[in-house]
Amino acid sequence: MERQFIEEKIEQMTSLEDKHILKELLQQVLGEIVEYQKKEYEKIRNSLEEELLIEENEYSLLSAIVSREKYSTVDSWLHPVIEGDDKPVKIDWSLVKLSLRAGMEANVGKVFLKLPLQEVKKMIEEPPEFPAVIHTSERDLQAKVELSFAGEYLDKLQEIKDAFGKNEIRWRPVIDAYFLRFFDLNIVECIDKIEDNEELLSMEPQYGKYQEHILENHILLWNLDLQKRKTMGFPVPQMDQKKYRFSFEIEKEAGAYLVLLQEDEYVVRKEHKLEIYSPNSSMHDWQCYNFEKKQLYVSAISLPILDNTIRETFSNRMARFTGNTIRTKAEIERMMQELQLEKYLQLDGMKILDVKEDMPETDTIIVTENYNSMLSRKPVLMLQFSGRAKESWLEADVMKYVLEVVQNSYYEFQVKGILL
Amino acid sequence: MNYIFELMLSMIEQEKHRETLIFRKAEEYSAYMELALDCVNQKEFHEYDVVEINPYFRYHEIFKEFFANEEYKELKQNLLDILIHINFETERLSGMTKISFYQILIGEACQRGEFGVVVAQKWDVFTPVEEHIVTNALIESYITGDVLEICKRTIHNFFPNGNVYFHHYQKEEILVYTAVVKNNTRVKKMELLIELFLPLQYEIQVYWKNHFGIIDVDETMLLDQVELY
Repeated sequence: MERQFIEEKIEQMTSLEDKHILKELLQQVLGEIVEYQKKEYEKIRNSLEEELLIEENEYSLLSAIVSREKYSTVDSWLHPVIEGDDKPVKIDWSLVKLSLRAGMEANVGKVFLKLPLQEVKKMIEEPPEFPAVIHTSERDLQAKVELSFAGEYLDKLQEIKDAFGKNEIRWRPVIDAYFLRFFDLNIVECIDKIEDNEELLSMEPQYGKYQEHILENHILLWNLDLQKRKTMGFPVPQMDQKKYRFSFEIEKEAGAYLVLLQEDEYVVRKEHKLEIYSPNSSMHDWQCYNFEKKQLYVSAISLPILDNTIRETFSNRMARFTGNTIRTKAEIERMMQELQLEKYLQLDGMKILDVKEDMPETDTIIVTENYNSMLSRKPVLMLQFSGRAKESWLEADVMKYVLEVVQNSYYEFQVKGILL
Repeated sequence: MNYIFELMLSMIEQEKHRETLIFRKAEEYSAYMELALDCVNQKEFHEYDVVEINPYFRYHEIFKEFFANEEYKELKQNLLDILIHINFETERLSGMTKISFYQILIGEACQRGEFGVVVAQKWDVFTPVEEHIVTNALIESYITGDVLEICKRTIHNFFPNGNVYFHHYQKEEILVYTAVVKNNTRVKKMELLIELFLPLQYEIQVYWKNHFGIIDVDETMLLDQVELY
């Protein structure tokens, strides 16, 4: 009820004197009562909404690509996935020369490929070769370079996934598009013979049709900060006579922590404290990943930030709070908006196909990664998407992520997707 | 109808502006009723209606001195009107449960398109009472996770004279006989219910005025009134 309603009632009165008295009353008491009611209603409503917080968002994983020179503008909250990646690359050309003369390949850096998932997968299976020119102190030499998949980024992601398991926190799928697209640039062969007196200076690969899709001197960042934490006081022996308790405080403002644990170790989370139980009694630093909270968009970032944060709305909070997924079309739509991917994909439709039914034959079909033999006997839930992204090469990766999320909830189906 | 809140709630159900009602102290009233209506069974009210009440029925302590003399008669009548409206809002809010807040929030989510464009576009087709049924069913389905039973019950609430049949042989199918004439609004409502509550693996067939024929059930085998399955 609005204050305006009382004003309207007063306006309808005929006696001027009465109007005056009521207006004063309105200003002093009645209006305040209405405002108070409104405030109280809002307070209860907000408190009920906030009661259902999405705790998973504390462990959201963001990934971004930035050029090495501009890294300093985002280093307060994004960190290189591989430690030291932010340092300028120095190529030891004398070592390259030695390797090439010995018939071995030599690494001269990393490149990032802005290519669709299927092409990247082909490249991972069959590393492509390109001609290159090596500039020396004397002349130009013809050479061959190869792009071989840099798997260390995916290994890091796997390490985090394992740490989630050991910390007993539910792992949520992530968009691993950037983790799959770094390739080592290796000189595999120098066609011209390198003379003793020649000094290698630089190298220029000729990527041909891939030229515009290649980013050089870029690094992969995420919102995880690897920290070494000291525990408070001495380890406390436990009643089981096997384990010791180590604890450290968590600052109020700091994000969530993931402790890198060894076998037989586990962690207990308290409000402002982490307690680690370990059979090892020696005092040492604990390696932890701290999840930095998302900050405002940073213009220095070359490509869109990919993250698996869940949109904070009441329907999403409700669904997360109850832990139930209902099996309806509207629920899949809700899951889509929960993932905040509308700028990449639009869900156009869905269909359930019997296993016996012929699957549409098109190379845009992507099967979820956690595919297994049990799954293949289940009916297929085919989701149909259309791309919307400015960066269209990311669409298949985003779809793969959506399918993985849906598959995790709809275990009675084989979830597949088609991108048109 | 006996109480003021009954009248106000019926205005909300009928989507009428309850603020426009004008409450006046009745000259003659029953000591056993809060509303002093000319017709005891009156159920229809319109916006800007003047409704006479017995203010002493529930609020004797408040109003016992208020109308003791004839001074400021118009002012007192107007003040009574405003106070009754404010008091109703207090009563309405104090009667809200956690689930009623959830219902409002989930209804807003549907309107915003969080459950898809189809739901957002057609949501206005529901009356406040139907909105109440749907949001309650949605919350219940999240709490229990059992959408099939809720789907059946919700369709029943919308079409109380109809029947919902489950077909489990050969394929998963739901047959709905609504027992009402098909029109645009009802089709939209049914589409919304399907979107929100029909389990993915189920197909649905909707029959409107005429039932599909069932051998040996004479009521379904009337000449010119049989639908084919």
